[in-house]
Parts: sequence; C-alpha cells; structure tokens
Amino acid sequence: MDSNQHHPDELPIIAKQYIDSIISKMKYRDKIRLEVKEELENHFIDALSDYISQKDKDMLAEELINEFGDSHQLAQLIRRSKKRCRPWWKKSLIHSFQAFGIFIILLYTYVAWLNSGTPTITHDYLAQMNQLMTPAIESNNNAKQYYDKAFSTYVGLDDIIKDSLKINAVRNTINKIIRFNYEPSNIEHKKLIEQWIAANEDSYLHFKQASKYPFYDQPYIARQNNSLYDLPLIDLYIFRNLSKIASIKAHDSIKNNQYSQGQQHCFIIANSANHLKNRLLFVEQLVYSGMNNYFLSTLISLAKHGNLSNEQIDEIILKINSLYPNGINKINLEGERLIFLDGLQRNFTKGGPNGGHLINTNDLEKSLSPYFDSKSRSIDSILATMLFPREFMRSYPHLLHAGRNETIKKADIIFEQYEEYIKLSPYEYHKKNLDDIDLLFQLPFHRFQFLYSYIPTLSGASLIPHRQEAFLEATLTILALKKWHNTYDSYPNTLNELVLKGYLKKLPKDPYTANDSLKYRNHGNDFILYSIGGDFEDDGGIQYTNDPWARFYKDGDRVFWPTGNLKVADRSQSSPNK
Amino acid sequence: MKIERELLKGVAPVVVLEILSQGSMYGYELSKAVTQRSGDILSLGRGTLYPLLYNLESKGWIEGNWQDQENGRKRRYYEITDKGRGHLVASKQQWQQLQEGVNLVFGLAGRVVPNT
Repeated sequence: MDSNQHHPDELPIIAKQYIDSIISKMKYRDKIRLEVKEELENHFIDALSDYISQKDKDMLAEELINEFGDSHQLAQLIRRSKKRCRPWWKKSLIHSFQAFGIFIILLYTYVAWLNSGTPTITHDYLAQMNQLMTPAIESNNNAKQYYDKAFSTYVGLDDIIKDSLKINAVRNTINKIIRFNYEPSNIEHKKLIEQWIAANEDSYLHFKQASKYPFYDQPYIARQNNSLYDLPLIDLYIFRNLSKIASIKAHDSIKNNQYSQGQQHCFIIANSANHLKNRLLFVEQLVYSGMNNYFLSTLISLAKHGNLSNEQIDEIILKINSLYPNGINKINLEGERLIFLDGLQRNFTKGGPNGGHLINTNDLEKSLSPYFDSKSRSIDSILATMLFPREFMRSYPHLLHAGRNETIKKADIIFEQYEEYIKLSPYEYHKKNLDDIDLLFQLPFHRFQFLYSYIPTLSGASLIPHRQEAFLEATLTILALKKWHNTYDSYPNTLNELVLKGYLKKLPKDPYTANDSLKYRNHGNDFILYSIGGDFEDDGGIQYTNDPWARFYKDGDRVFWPTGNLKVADRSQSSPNK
Repeated sequence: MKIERELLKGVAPVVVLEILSQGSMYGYELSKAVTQRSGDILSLGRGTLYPLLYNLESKGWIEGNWQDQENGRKRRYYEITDKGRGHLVASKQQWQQLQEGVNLVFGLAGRVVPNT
C-alpha cells in the first residue's frame, strides 16, 4: 500500500463529495474539521492505492462510502466523539456557559410568569376599617371642624427656628418642662418657646374648642383606589405638639398660682387623647399613648404645686374616671390586620401554585425600594443587581418571595403572637424571655419582604399601655394621698389604708412585679411612690434615667413621687451589677 | 461470518486497544489489522472506526499524533497510553471470564456445571 504517489485531488469525485459532506455536517471548529478531513482522505487514499483504473477506484470508493454509512449520522458521531476529547477545563467552561444559558432562560420564563399575574380585589377593607373605628355620630358632636382649623393654623417649631440642632435642644427643654415642671435656665430657649406658643394662639384655641366635643370622627381616606397602603394620617404631630403647648400652659398657670386654669389646660390634653383612643393605626395609638403621658405628668405637677382642695381632687378623679372608665386602652391590631389583608389582595395573585404569588405593584415598589423603576425591569438590570443580593431582593421582591398561602400562614402566626404579647405585663413578658425578640425580624427578608412592609414591628410597644396603666394608677394614688393629707395632715403608713378608707378603689399594680403594688413609703411630710422598673429589682426608689421604663434602659426604679426636685442619679455611678 | 453490531460494540474497544498495544497505527491500517487478525470474523464498520478512535482518545486510553509524510501530507498515528494498557488488562480478564461463562453455557468447556 503506497499512498505517497496519491493526492486527495486524485480521489474519485464521489469520495471527495462524501468527505466534504461529512465535514460540512460536523458543524464544529475549523481546525478539528480539517484534521478529520485529512484523516478521512488518507483513509480513502490508502484504500484506493492498490487500484489503478479509475473505474475500479470509483467502484471501491462507492463500496467504502456504503461501509462508512450515512454522512449525516457519521458527522454527528464524529462530532460527539471530538467533543468528548476536549480538556476538562474547556468542558467545565462550556457546561458552565450552558448552565448559565439555561438559568437565564428559566429566569426569563419565571420572571415572565411572575410579572404576568394580576391581583383580585374583592373586599373593601377601607370601609370595614371605618366601620370598626367609630359609631356614626351627629355632626354637632364631632370635634373635626375645630381640629381641622387647629391643624390649618398651626405653626411648627421649625417655622420659628431654622437651625435643626437648636430645634432639638428646644424640644428637649420642652420635654423637661412637661416631665419635671422644669424652669428653663436658657433664656433663648425660653423666649423661643414663648414665641412658638404665641404663634399658635389661634391654633390652640381651636384645639381647646375641639377637646370639648365628645367625639372626633375622621374617617380614613385612601390616597387612591381605596388602598389601605400608605393611608394619609391625621396630623398626629400637631395633636402631639398642641398637647405639649397645653402642658406648658398648665405649668405656667401652676407657677402663677392659677390652678384652675392649669387644670383646664391639663384636661384639654386628656380630652384630645381620648379622641384618639379608638383610632386603629398603630402609630395613632402610640401618639394617644404619648399624649396620655403629657396629661399624667402635668397632672402630677398640678398635684405637687397646686394645693388642691379635697373638692378639686374629687373633681379631677371624677373626670379621670369618666375619661378612662376601663383604664388605658391596650394596643389594638385590628387596623393593621386589615391593612395586611388589603395589601395581600392588592399585591398577590389568587390561585395557582402556593395559592398565588407576589406581583410588583406601585405600593410594593414604593415600600420596598425607593430606587425601583418598573420601566427598567429588564433582564440586564436583574442580572446587574444580582451582584448585590440585598439590592436585588429589594428591587425584585417578587422573585424569591414566599407564595400567598405561606405568607398568610406566617402573618397569622405573627398576629396571633402579637395578640398574646399585648396581654402580657412587662413582668410576664420578661419571664417568657421575650425582651429581645422581634418576631417579624426572625423571618428571612427575601421570603417575606411583604410582611416586613405591611406588618408593624411590635418591639415591646405592647408594654406601653401596661406602663401607662401603672402611671394612671400612680396618679390616682398620688391624688388620694394628697386628699388624705388634706384630711389628716399626714400621710398613711400603707397604701392599704387608702383603700380601706375609700380614698382609692384598689391598690395600684406594679406591672414589673408578679402581683405586687407600687412601692410606697411614708417620709413624714412627704412620701415616695415608685415602680421597681425594667431591672425587676427594688432599688429603693432611685431613678437613674429620665425614662427607666424605656426598652434599652433597664436600671433603677420609675419614681412617680417625689417629682420635679428629684435628683436623678448619674447612671455611671450605678452598681455594675445592674 | 460477520458479528452482530451490538456484540461488536462491546468488544471493539478491547480489540483496538489490543492491536495498538503491539504498535502505533493509523486509521486505515488499524481497520485492516482488525479484519486480518480476527480472521475476517471481526470487522470495524468504517463508520464506527473513527468515532471509536476519538472516543478512546477522549478517555485517555489512546493518543493520536500527526506525523509528516514524504508527500507533504500528514497522517495521524494512534498509540496506546499507560492508562489504556491498564484498562486493556482489566478488560481482557473480564472478556476471558465472559468467554468461560459463555462456553460453560454452550457446553463447549468439556465439563458439566455442578447442580447447586
């Protein structure tokens, strides 16, 4: 067999066409195709080298072609075999690209599916919310018109003071006045506060007028499409700030021995707070709570400086009992639950796998990512943000989010737990080791972003009404003690004596104990009344911080009396064990 | 007598490795060698030959090298690798066992399988 004398050009046309056909059908890299071509040509040249006549060569070539078989099939077999010859790194690279390609296709399909759904809105939760809040009342019983006027004429501190640092400093001074009947030593602060109060004379008059009405009926009004998301709030900060003005005015009246006026200002706060007690939003209930604090702090100042007669004390107690017939309202989550349900029907599809899936809506975009732009929701931008997982999840919350059924299930668990927490006193809460638990934050963010956006974090806020209940009972106790002192010119040795002689309906409970009352000691011409506070230990009536009931300050006691001239101990001097 | 394609499929790699273990060869030469050494019983279809060679190469059992020819063209010679030799030894043992088993079944081994 001597192939040296032969050249591929001398191959029968039929053979050349056959080989060319295989090579063209191989669809592979040129280098490999040329190598295979040369190898096949060599094979034919070798096989035909023993034949001289063209006729014989043609016949044998045809025979060989028949043996090689279908060119298409052979091309495929060769291609497959050659692919297997690739080095491992090349194979890995190719497989990675293939996997990535498949991933992209699946992602496209998934995104298309997720974006294809539409919500099914069946229920008007806004109407349900408004029905829950207030019974229908006649307009002449509604404080709304006066509140509206008070809000429209209100002048903010920031309208008077432009420097934000100074605003904060002045706010601190205001809080000290409310809390401790503090006399500002900073003349500038004092003048600015006076200026602020003077600028709000009109607003305050309307506020005062509104406080005389039994009801405040202000239905919730949606921004659009009856959606409960991002409901416009009533002007809560004005409520709060006009209450502060009332408290400052009350303190001024007390200083000027105008106790009756002081009492009036004081009850303006309580009456207005009462208007908020049935509001359903969590934030509104927190403002209700804050206003109660202003009222009770101011009332204690009045009790301290007011030389109140027994008749005046009785009148005050009567008013308190009518304003708080069942004590302080507990946190009510009905409104927040309705907001969640409304959000669910507007942001999830209904039916299909997992009961439905999250879809991107304007509400969700607004709540989860201020940078989100639905118009640029291209696959490129999805891939780009994938490099930053947190941003990716924020921008495309629906891609990894749990389905409708799972979301409802988790929300039910959270609301159920919240309802349980609301019932627990701070002592019970602490005993159950719930101090540092934020139920919502235990859920994986990427799976339950919707809940993060639509359910408020309770974070111990459920304890606020329990603390306020104690504050209220402490205030009633202080008033009873003052009345006792008016009668006997001394203080009782125990609080039980107040109850036994009808000065107090029941002993004031300390929510930081299992079932004990607030701590009381007779100091001759004065007394001390306190709760043992967040460290759950009796520190003998020493208060280390302005607010020892606050979540993260757990030292010392919460002293209700004496107040004002109370020397607040430096926390750094407190025992390291505390 | 030509062997059924499915039967040949199993034995072909071992046969190619065995032949290459005796020296490197190019494709046509190898196909001739298979036919000759098997007494015309085994014949690699030409359509099977090259895909088979490339598969063995991908497994690292053989290695193909281009060598220049006097006519200026190049020819690809295949030679068995160490890995291929290892595989050949193991395969040959298996084939011998298979052969014994088949002989026993066909009664060609001259002995009877005891009843167990």
